[in-house]
Amino acid sequence: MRTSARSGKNSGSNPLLLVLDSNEYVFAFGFVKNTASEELLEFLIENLPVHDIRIVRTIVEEVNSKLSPEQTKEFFAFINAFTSVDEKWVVPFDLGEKYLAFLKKGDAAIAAYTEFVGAQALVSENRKHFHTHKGRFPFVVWDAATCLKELKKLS
Amino acid sequence: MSKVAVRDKNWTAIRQQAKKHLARIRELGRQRGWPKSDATQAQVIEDIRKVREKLWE
Repeated sequence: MRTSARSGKNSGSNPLLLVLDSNEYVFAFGFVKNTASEELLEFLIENLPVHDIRIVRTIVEEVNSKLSPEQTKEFFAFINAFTSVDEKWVVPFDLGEKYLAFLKKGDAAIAAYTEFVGAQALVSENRKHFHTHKGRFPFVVWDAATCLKELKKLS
Repeated sequence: MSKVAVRDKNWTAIRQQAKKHLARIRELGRQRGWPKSDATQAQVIEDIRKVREKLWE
């Protein structure tokens, strides 16, 4: 049984299914300084396989847009170590449509993907878009610092 | 991932592998001048969102 991030209740085993936005990976890799993003990724690795991290192909491509070819190779190896990449076509179009009322197509697709995989939380530093609509999703929207705090509470 | 698949994996080795790849990505970044002092987090987020919009077109 999984923990309900929204209610804060848990069943004892405390796993969460998370989708990390591309900015979390880019910040965790050190492109710009963000200690919370760095610590979150390190925490998730250290606690594998307690929490499940899902990633869609477009997030991989967005991260790759900031990486050199050699870093890209390492990133694929990094991702393949503990999860598998979902192709974007796995997300039903209808699911994303409802988010188009307040999000751009790309962000709507990420929200739909997060809902589709049944994640309890989308972790993103994108305050301007996801965080301002956080009450409109069936999952919680956290930044890395909040996510880290919540995961530490569960462990 | 099924519970059996999760149980059967050597997670100690996987954690070590993931840490190794993460450290390598960061080291390669440092060699490229990361962390960037001329970019704010907000700018980077917007840059990535532009890539996102193109990918979902």
